Amino acid sequence: MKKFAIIAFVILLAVGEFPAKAQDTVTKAKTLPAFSIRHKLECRFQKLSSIEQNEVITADGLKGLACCNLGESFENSASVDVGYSDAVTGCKQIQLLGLTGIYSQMMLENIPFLRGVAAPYGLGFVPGQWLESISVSKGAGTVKNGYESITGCINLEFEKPQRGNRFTLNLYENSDLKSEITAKLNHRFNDNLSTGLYVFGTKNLLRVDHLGHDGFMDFPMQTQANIVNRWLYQADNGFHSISLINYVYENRFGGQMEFQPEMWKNDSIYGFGGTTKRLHFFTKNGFPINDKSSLGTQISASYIHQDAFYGKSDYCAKEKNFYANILYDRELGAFTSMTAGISMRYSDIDEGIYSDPYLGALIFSNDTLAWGQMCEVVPGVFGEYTLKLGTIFTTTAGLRYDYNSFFHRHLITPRLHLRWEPVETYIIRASIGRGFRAANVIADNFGILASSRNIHVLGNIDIEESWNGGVNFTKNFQLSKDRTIKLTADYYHTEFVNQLVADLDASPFEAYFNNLEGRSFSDVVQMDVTIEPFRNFEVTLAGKLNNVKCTYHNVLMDKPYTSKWRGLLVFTYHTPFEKWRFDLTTQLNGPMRLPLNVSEHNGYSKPYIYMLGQVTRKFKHSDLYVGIENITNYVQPHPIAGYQTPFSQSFDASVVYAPLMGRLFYLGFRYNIR
Amino acid sequence: MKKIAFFLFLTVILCSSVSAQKKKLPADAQTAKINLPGWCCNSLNPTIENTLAYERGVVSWTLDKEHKCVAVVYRSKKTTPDKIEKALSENGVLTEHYKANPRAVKDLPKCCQPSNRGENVQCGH
Repeated sequence: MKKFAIIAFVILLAVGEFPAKAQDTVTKAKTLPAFSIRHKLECRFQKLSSIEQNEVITADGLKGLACCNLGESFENSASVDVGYSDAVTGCKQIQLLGLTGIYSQMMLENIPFLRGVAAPYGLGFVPGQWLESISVSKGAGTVKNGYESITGCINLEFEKPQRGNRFTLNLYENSDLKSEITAKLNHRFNDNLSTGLYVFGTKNLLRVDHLGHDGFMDFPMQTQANIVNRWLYQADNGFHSISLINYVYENRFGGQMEFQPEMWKNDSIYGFGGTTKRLHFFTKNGFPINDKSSLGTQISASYIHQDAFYGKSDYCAKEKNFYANILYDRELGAFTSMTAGISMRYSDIDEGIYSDPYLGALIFSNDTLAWGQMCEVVPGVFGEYTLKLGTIFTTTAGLRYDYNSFFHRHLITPRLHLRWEPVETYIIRASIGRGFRAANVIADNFGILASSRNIHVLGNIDIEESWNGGVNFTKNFQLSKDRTIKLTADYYHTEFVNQLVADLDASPFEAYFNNLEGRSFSDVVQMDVTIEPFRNFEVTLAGKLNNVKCTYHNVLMDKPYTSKWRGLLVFTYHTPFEKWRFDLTTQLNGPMRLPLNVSEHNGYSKPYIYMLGQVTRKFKHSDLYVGIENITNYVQPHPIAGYQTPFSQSFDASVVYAPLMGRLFYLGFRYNIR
Repeated sequence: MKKIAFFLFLTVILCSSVSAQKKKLPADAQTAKINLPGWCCNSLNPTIENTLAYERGVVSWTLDKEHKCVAVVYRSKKTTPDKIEKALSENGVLTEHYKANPRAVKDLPKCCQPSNRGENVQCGH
């Protein structure tokens, strides 16, 4: 560790002078006047004015990574960790504040999105090239969007048709012959009305088993077609309307190298396969009533149908979702404002499961699952009061009440946020709030299906409930006119009152699901520093300590698959006018506890380094980029236990703690018409 | 460790060499003055510079805020003042002969939008 830090520091010092001089030459050649404002590339930034701690990853930041989809868009963010759910499906899962992504509320343009059965799988349904920005807020969110944000919110903003390029085409190919195409078409009819049509397709053509030569594909064969059409209307009187409709079709199959989808349910060759269809629609409208008040409506609906098989086990899920939210905003005085509203959510999940992992296994099916059909109707009412004393002090207190028809529970959600800026650019924030979530036994833990564990659900699973609180400190130091050091430090604590606990430690052959009996909590401390050693060169250094524990069969243990610590080092350099851009990201992943399992990996995993880099050349209408993922070529040895006998009790493909893909080269081309 | 140090070193060297290119004035270099009536303040400079930096045949330029114009040194074999003016207008900058692309105007800093739409307003910055 020390060596690495010293080397990095010496190199930075040694070359610090040189490019600065080189740039002076270029600047002189252009004879720029002294007052010229510099165009600055901003990949990530902390939103200083926001009351919540909010880290924004911009489209420029995403262009420095091969962001095929949302799951791959967090590689240069220290707040969000990304990992695989198992070794056969290729699905990625995120973690925020040491807890899986299901506890953070995913939102598309401030409307709840990818919840229920789509939550674990859904990251693959959002192509990175469609995104304009991703904002990650830590801690309990606002009450306006429901009670589900426990560890934070991740809000996605798609490209805006009135601002985006008229046409964009992105082509991507990697060394494992995974091909991708993204096309975006924006049209402005007039100053008021505009529309966008975005399409995305991906297919991989090569079956690869670089890893361990275990006869299993490293990544499944995947085909995805994804289309979005969005409309925006802005009237001269302030009326604003945004609507979007999205359809995704995805088919993937993996498993043993010789497996074909027709061999489904064959008990001599192991295969995984699945088809997902998802339709999503939302519309949001804002009406100004007068200078001081406005009314907003948000309506969204989605339908998802997922059909999958893992060896001889079957899983099928259908979900219908409808959500409506009406908000009324009003300025009460010079320093105060309020928001009040009502909401209604209807969600109907129909999960079908038949788990038969090996000969003689205990068959787990819908009959054992008491709530195979879960229909929730959740009407709610909320209010939020904001006191704002200039830029110095802001506080927001919110309260919401919901009734959940499935759990027959009255849910009261209080939230409080404070922001204090005693001296300019010194910001202290604090937040506390309660959150709830309806757990889905299989969808939240579908990696289990890629193992031979027998599934047992003990008792009726109640709604998950937690409290989250935290403090955050942000300071920007101005080094010179256009160079700053940005410092952020934060601490968050999450305490569960009830949680769906997946106990994998009682036996390597069994998985027990139950309500929490005892404590379950997460403590996360993180520090980020962004410095600019010289012009156009930015270095981000971040470190994080996780202490996440949960009670399994009356023993308080570290939560599995959560790194004890994590470090991140990001270098971004661009030449004047960004004609060339270089990005290098290094992640240091600490040890994580692995649950008791049949493989050779038990106890704590080894720490490892994961690096990725990209070079981008920008032209007038196009960009060309080449990059490498997993530069150090570190892969988990033998990720599939019992690969020789997949239909036996010794098979387990769910123990994944490190990358599954070796070093990967990619090449991409973007073409824009303004 | 060695690998990491090597990659770091390689990246920094690449960065340095790219920005160290020096330019000589070519034989066919000529200078043209392009009037920018919509130029209200320095916030517009990055847009003008970014456009000229990517324009084929442009060698260098000098911004003259007082006279609201830019003097561009260009290679006459590769481009014409008209093409340069058109490129600026496509990126949202109002020029003497071309209207600014309305989509690009929306991307300009707020204070620069009205004047580049052709309205007779100055932001006063």
